[in-house]
Amino acid sequence: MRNAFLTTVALGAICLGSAAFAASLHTQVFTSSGTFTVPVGAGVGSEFQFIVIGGGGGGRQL
Amino acid sequence: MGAGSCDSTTGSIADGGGSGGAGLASFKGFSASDTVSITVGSGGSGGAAGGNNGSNGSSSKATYSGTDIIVSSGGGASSAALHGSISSAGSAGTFSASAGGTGLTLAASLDYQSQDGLATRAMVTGDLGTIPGGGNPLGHAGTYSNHDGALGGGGLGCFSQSSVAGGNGGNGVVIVTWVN
Repeated sequence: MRNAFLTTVALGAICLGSAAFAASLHTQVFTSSGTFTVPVGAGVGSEFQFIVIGGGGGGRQL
Repeated sequence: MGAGSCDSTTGSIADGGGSGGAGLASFKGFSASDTVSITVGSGGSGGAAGGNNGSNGSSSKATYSGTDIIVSSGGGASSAALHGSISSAGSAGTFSASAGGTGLTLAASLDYQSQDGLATRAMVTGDLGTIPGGGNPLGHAGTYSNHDGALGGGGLGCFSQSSVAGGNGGNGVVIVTWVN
């Protein structure tokens, strides 16, 4: 019984370790207007970073 | 556009356009399959030959649940002569981020402090009739060698004895990053 418990704990630890390892960085670039859809698997605690750059102004001609 | 076509030998100076606003913001609280509307602003056009202003860039933004949670406004065009034959540089766009009433949490934000178009007030002769636009950490401003800005950079101000237009502002961009 004790061995079975330890085995379960060990397997759980391995699974958690694998899950953490499987996480990867994703990037989506928008050069034109569109829609970003929050991916399945993202939880409320997931953080999404947006870098937003406006269009530049035109130069004058003299 | 190649170098050498925007030279002044008379002391006339055309200042550069401003960079679009730029910054970073991180949010928590989204649910899977939520959608965020992304608007990417366009760069302003350079002033046409014959002594014309350029146009302002337009805003880029992210909109969630009807609320603009991030807005980077467009950079300003450099405008008509302030003093004699010296024009006025374009202003940089602004950056703002707020969760508003969306239920999201703004975890972090940083205004990249985009640059105004460069301005020169010294009365000089030579090839200083061309003044770069303003830059931001991501894109670059229009320069003597490449008149158009990129990724929100302002366009080159051009005094041209061969009627070359001012540089165009760079189009904006939105980049979304997450770990999953």
